[in-house]
Amino acid sequence: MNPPSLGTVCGFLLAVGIGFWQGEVPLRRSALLAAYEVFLARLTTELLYAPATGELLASLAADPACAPLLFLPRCLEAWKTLPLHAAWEQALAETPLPLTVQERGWFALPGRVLGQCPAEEQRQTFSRLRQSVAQAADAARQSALGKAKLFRMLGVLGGFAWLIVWW
Amino acid sequence: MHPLFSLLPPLLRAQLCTLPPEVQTSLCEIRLRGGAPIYLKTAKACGFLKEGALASSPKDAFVVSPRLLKDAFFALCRDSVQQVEEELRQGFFTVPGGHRIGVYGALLVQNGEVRGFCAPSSLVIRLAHEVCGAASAILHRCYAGTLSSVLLYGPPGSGKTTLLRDLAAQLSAGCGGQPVQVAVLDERGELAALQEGKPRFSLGPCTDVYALCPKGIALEMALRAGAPELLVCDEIGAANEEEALLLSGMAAGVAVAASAHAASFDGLLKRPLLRRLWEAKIFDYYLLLNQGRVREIRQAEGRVIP
Repeated sequence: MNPPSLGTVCGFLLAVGIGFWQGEVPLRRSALLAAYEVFLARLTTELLYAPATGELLASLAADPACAPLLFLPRCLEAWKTLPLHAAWEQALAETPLPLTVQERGWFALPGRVLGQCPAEEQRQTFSRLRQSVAQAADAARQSALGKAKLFRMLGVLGGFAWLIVWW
Repeated sequence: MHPLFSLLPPLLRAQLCTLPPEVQTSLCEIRLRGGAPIYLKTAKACGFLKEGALASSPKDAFVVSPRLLKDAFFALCRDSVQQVEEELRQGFFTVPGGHRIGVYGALLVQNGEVRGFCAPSSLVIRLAHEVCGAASAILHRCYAGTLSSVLLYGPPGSGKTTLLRDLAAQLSAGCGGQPVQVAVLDERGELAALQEGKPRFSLGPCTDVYALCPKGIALEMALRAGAPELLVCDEIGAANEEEALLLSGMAAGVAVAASAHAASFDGLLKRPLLRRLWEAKIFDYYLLLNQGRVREIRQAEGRVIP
């Protein structure tokens, strides 16, 4: 039996790689939603003390629990030259987020509310938003592992199928 | 560039930076209205901003769009409405540097109480100034050898805060004799404009400041903590019983220098708290101000001093 050609081995590895890469997407989405829920919870609590929005965002961006929210540091950077709502939008647009259209809407909301109305109104808005995000984060957490396994398995199977056909 | 301009959105900043430096430093008021040109007031002139100059006609002047006005509002409060909402209920807020931002617009009222603004329609930016020597005339007439209590009154923009600030600075520096221990009760953050614990305006070497605290509370704390010889506070006159009682209680020992809105002495006495203070003879002198100058001085009984 001849050893597999370099092209066949590369094809196998590519299929496995795609499977594992795709398997990471539901895990990242789950982590992102969980971090966003923490972010909203902290935001709601901190607003009780009416802090400056800049200080609040900077402290949350430095919080390890909010580390998956990569758009936060970008927003703080863009805010130096843009109004907050525009900086928030720009940061979200520049950050690849594995989210549905509805979830993107949830992520965009603080940009239009944070620091733009009295603290109590902000707290109520973020509290309601947090409930929706918590449900989505729960569902994502439950399905993430199963989906990740499925994508990885499909990748490995696809790789073997490639080997069978070309070897 | 005037320090306040750095707080404004870039487009507005660029427009205001077209003004000559001497006009920028003498600005007293900037009025921004949605869909209207920028109106400026300096110590000597006023008019619409047009190509780096003040024009009497609004024709062809730069127009502030409602969007830009909204951006200016949020930029001035640094996108932190929650920090200024208490002040906003009174129609204004103060920004670093002690500048006052008056806000007009559709109000959000709930149970008869103002909760905030739905959308601002105009902003009146009143720039704080420091005029060294502004209180020299008062020092000679009201503080010759004794520490008197004075009430400065006048219409908005008549220079009450500027004069109070200089009075505190001069007395604290010992210009009337011995240095006086002054406590400034800066409820709105305009008198001292504290920045990182340091007054932005010169208030003299013997001045202590309570900032952003209701006058009644600050007064009590100052009397307990610092044993001041002179208390300086801006804009008294709200129907606040606590404030009135505390002010009356001070009659025994500590001198007070305060300011109040009133266009005339009769107008002053129509305000219940101020009338009570007059009846209690809390103040030794009443000084009417207009355009930064003392126009009239009255004694405690109300008699005009020639």
